[in-house]
Amino acid sequence: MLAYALRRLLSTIPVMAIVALLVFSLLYLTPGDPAVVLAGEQASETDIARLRTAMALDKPYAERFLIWVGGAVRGDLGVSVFSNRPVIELIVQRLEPTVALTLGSLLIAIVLAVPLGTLAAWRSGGALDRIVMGFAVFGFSIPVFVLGYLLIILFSVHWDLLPVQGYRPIAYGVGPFLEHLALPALSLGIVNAALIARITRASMLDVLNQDYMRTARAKGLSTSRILIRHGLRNAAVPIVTIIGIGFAMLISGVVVTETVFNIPGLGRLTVDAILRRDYPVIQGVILVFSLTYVVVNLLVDLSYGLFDPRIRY
Amino acid sequence: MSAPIAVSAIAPEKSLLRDSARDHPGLFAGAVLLLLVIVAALAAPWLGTVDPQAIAVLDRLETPGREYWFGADLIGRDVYSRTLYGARVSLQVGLGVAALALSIGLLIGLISGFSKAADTVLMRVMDGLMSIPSVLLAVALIALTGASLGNVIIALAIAEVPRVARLVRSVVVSLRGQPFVEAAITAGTRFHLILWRHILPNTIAPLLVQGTYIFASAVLTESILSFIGAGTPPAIPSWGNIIAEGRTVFQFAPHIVLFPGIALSLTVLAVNLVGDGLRDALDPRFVQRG
Amino acid sequence: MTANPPLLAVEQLTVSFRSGRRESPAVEDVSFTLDAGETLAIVGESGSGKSVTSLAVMRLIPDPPGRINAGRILLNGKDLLALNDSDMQRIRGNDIAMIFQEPMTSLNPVMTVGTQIAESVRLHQGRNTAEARQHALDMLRRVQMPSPEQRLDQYPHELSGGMRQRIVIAMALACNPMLLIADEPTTALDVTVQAQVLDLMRTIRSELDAGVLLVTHDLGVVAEMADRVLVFYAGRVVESAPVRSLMRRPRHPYTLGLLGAMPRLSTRGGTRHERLLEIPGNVPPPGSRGPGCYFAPRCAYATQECRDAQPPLEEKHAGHLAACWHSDELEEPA
Repeated sequence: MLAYALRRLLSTIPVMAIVALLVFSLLYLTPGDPAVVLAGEQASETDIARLRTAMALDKPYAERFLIWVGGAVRGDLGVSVFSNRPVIELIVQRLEPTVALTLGSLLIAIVLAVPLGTLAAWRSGGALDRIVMGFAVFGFSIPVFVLGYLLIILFSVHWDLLPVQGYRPIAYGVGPFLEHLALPALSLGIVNAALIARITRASMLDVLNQDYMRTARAKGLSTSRILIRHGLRNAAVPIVTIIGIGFAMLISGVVVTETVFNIPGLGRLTVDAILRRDYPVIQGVILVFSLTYVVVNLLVDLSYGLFDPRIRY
Repeated sequence: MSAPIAVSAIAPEKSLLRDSARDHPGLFAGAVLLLLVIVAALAAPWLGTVDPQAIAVLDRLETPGREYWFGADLIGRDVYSRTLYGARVSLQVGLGVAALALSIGLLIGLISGFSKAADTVLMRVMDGLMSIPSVLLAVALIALTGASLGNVIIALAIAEVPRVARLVRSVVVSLRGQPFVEAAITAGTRFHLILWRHILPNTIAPLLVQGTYIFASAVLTESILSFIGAGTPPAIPSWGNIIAEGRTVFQFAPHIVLFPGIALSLTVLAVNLVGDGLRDALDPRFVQRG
Repeated sequence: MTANPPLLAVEQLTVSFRSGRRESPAVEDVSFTLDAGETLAIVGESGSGKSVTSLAVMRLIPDPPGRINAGRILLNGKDLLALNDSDMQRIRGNDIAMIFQEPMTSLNPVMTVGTQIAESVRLHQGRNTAEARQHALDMLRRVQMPSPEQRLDQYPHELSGGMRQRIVIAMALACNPMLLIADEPTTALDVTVQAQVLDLMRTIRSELDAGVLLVTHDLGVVAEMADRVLVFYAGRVVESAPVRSLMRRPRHPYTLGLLGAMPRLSTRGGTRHERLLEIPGNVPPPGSRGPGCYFAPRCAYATQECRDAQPPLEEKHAGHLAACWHSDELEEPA
């Protein structure tokens, strides 16, 4: 197991290296002098020259990449062109709201989707199944920001139950923290739930047709025990896989949700950096998000053995 | 399963539509809905619209009513007209991205499926690309190349290419081992004949299904990009842009966000339904959504 | 007739399955009884309704598409079809247990075999985890599982087919059921293992004094195990007799065909295919059945009478029932 984990960890290194190379190269795909692109339209000749030396743009391509990767490995992602502060510092500052939003929406998605998908499979073809699957297609089609605004209009403007926007760190108290997190996590969670519910249903349908489920019924077990203890664990591998794959969608959703709800997280940082063309920040944030995605999917891979004893490393 | 066949055998001339509605209700509903969106987009000038850019400052934030069916926006532009014209942008993006991503992905997938050496390199690059969340990748590309509809399409297509390439590659790899392809190769059949006769026909069904999913996801992502201010230039009335402009005032003028939001959701829903329906009807293996 | 009701009495059971808009019967008007300590074999081709009947007794017919349309299933005089779901759950695995056909697929792949055996004991007898585990170990010993202590914590994929079938049997016997239903218990096993499993079942039957309902297509197994036999054809009972009487002188042409189709040298063939190739033709699908005997189209003895009217299941000899207009004309098997 440990050996397998290490081997899998090592195998992600090439992927990470390619991600780094792609992220780094983005800047050079643009037509023209990157220094001019970076400095913006109003920059003077001296500004551009200063930027060129500061970012080592006068060095050869490969050397610049190695300098950048070398820094990134040590946690140095360069300095923001806009605020002149280290990118890593900006990222760490904005980490809490994004982590809270991601975990919160993931929790909502799983709590919503797994039972619904299971029930839909159990009563497949019935009314409940159609409702759940209808919800899943709608959830998959409604953009996060439209859903976010709908929820704000309902819960905050119309019923005045929850704050409209903003974020309170958990250090300010759990109550306000949860109040502010509820709507953004719900809008993002529902979209993700649609994906997970579909897969849960498909996977459970497959499992429900297996002989061992009939054996479980023949033992006189209750329906809930049959579905949860015997069914879900067998259906788990595709479900955790889709949670891992859906993480990419979740990250894109975070960027949008933070904009809708004015949450000062990594997503806002990204959007602001894009609007300001703060390239070191863009590079840093994309790198961090991509690495998180790779790590999450590594964890998903390693979790297979927990669910299915037939998978051995 | 046998009952519908019997019915259509008795009255084949008028039951085809009814049968398809009954056997694939999702596909049928999606197709009808999508057709409505296409008609709305193409016939926008004749559907009671005014110039979507015409400004009437006095009517700003007018609520939906007889004059402004969907209300007016911050500077008094007609939200109904803008929403209808916005459909043109979304369909253009969806179609453009799907076409571009499918052709590039097909090419890379074919190369990778036939050449071992290229495969290792290309698939590593595809893995890397897939690890970058598509919105972020597109956003970065657009931020650097400048906002234009063309660049949005290119950026979104690049983000979708890896999935298409993997799909095509898996089709090629699985076909390459099939007896009829092996027989053709041993018989000395020319490569382009094998490609045209055996490989490409088998990629059509999965690519069609994948293409509709790309269409849906491109429409969605374009609106996200426009919404966060890094997509289609603000001058073009795309749904994402209309919503972004209504963002600041949505608490007291929700209609600016609501109507294009509904149009957007329905369009994506229609395309997703068509995709799901095609997948069930054609049943191609390999297609993965998400 | 004694005052006590039989252990199991099935009365006029009819089960149908829906496909599309059509509902077709899988079991029609089936009645039989089974006493404690007795083994009743149900024989027939696949699709003859024998498995459906056994599942109906457990109330495990998948619904939809299946449905029990009519009849009563009495366990010690109590009608199982009248019970609510939770009462039925108390009976399943406890009073009635089932051994399924496929040991490879009827065990849950992600649970240890110990847990799977202990599960029903904990549920029905309210024992705690440690007691249930001890009981599971006892059960493994009882089914003669080699090195039982190690097996408890193993997963099904780590065991051989024969061992898995022992686990399936141990699971079924865990709560000392009064009725044991065995659906093709040896079909999926290879020949040597089949013999071992049959030996085991015989031993257990003598210890348990339970009624056994044995569903099989294998007349070799029937001859070895059963006291009485029901022969199913196209969802109906065509013959019901003590095993010796049936083997010596079948009173239905279909049974005659089955006996003729029985391989003579190898007692229990290793193949899983139904060996009924000698009877010409196929079981008519429900839609194309006439008013008469369902077997008539394939029957060498069929007359116009057979095609016009369904023969009733009548006693032709002491305790030997058959549904055939021409039972008396049948020759004895060669």
